[in-house]
Amino acid sequence: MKLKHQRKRFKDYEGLLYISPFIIGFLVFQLYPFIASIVYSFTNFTMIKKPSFIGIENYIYMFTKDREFWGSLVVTFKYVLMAVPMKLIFALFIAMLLNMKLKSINFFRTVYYLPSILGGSVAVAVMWRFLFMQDGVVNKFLGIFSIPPIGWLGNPDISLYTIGLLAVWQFGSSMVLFLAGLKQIPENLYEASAIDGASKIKQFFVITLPMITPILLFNMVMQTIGAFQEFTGAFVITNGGPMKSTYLYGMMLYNNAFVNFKMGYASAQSWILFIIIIIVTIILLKSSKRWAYYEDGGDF
Amino acid sequence: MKKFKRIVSLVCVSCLLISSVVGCGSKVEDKSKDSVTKKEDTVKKDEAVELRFSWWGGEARHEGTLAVIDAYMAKNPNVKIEAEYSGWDGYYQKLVTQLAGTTAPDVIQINYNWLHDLRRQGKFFTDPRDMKDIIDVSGFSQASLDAISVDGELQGLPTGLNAVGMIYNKEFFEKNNLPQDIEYWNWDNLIEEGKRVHEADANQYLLNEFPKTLVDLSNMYLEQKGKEIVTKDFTVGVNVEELTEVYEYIQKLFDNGVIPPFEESALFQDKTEQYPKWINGEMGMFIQVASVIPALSGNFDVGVTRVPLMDGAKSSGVSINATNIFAINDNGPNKEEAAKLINFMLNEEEGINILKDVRGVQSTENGRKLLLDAGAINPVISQTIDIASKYPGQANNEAEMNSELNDIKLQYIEKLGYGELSPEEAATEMLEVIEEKLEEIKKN
Repeated sequence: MKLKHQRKRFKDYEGLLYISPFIIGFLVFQLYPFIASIVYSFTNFTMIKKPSFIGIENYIYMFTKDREFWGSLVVTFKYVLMAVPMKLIFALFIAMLLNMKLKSINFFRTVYYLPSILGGSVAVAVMWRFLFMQDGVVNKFLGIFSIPPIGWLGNPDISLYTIGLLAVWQFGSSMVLFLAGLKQIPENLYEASAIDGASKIKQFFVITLPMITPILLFNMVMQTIGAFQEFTGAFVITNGGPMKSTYLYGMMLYNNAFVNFKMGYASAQSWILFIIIIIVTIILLKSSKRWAYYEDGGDF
Repeated sequence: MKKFKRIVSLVCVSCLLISSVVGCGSKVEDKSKDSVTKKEDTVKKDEAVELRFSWWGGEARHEGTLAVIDAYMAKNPNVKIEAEYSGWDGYYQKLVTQLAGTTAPDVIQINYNWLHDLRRQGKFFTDPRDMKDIIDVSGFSQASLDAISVDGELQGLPTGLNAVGMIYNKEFFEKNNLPQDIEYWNWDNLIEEGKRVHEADANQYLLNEFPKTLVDLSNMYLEQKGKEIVTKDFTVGVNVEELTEVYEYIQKLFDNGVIPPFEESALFQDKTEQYPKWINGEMGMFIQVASVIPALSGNFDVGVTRVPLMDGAKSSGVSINATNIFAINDNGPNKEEAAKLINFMLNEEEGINILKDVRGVQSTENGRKLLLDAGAINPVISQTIDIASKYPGQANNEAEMNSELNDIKLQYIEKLGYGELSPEEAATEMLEVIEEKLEEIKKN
């Protein structure tokens, strides 16, 4: 009897052992830095010198004196408000195309996922620079229609949108989720509405869109979190310029931490970003009660 | 069967686990091992050593450096050198992280304008004079060593000499009837000729400038008047009128089409060799350091003249600097081996002959002579150094290399160039911001 009991206990631990690579990775590479950064945010840590405790001075400096902070915050919000909707609309559009019953549709599904695999890698970002530079392919193409060249990356009013396009290009993961959602919509809804004379567009707004709102919500939350933390595109393509017009929050953090030797200050800034992301996420989730539709009542 | 499967998977997981734990703890282990090898090193010379060596650069520098590494390893079979090379972007940030985590390579290429920022954080690099019996520092001029010392502590050794000159495209100059006289240019005829060239063909610009290089240009202009924006004691050294004059000059460069608008150029900052306008020969010249000449002369021949000079200039504003610096990681396990490698590259004939001018003109008299005799130095590079020694400027001071101050200067050049602020507004606002930052720096 006792032996059996012990064996059961071992079985419990066995499970833990299987997931231990994750647990250890999580503890060492996520939880520890997470907690350490709170502590550092109250110090003048330079990453090298021994930190000394300075209370909330970092936070005071951030909100009252730092000339870059507010500018960068505005750029980041603009970026999120632009990149997330663009990406979701595009992902949904492609998902609907790929939901059609075509021969070899699986091939297309794979092809359209490719950009997400290439992602925001440096090579892609470099390619972006060549596509959108003043004498680049895009402007050459527009030139055929006698449209004057546009400063896609050189003009401070436009550059942020061009960086946003790089994010839109990586629509794959949202698209896959949308595609799964679209497949869940019962066919008979469409048939019934067609009999009632609903047009395709009407069908989209009264059937398709409401039916996939849970997925829309999930994608929106995930993409918003990702967009707040965006870094690669702005760093590799424009390095925050021109005139700090693409100086996203992530870049400011990076520069403070690794160029200006202000790791303590950067930690404080990262906590403010974390709090902003939490607030925005809560707002999204709360508001979803009004617009996200769940067949089972919607407790998640 | 089921049990067997379970045992196999358990073994696998355990392996993963152990390797991850070992991976985490390797740093500590390494150290103890290293101290052992160090002790043995003095006794037994042939102990296998693994050296890490990092640098940034272009294709030519990579090839040259890899070749010299091969030669060194062939000579010293007990040494295995791990080359960690990349382009310029992100190199510094990675290095800072490595230094903080004490995982930096043994031999590190560093830039002269990082020295003060880094030394303020701690002692990272061994003074080569502490290893006199391994590295010979006698061939380097005292001035070149002083330039890379912080508070009398030498941070490394200069890999080569570098100076700014006006590098010009010969074809472009012939096509536009521009004189190739070394002493031709001053600030006024720069605008006149630039205007003429741009009016002849709207695609052409006489001078290539990016936001960052315009910061250098404004520093140079001020230095010729005996001024600097921030003095070496971290105080403001110009008034609004003086700064406005510089900014008005830059405005004129834009207005007359002497330099391309930022909308076109800014994207290729630090990447001139990729800049289509430069590659296609639509740009006349570029005020840049000599070490980039090989990268800039891919499609056409280039020459060099001195920088524009004003009447009665107090100095040219051009200083001769170390192209970059080879430093020995002070916390590294193989300091002696690192010193040997540096000595091989900078002092020994074989190393010098292989490296040639991939890091500018050799900084030792002997090395320079060796390569000049062999005709291995790009004549334009050595000419740039000659011109710079004929028209000297002041040495760079710590304030000029401060990353935060430079960032402010850059921001206001951008605001000026993109037309957001007039020269006077930019000058007024920038001095306010600089003053604020200086106070902050003093407090820390």
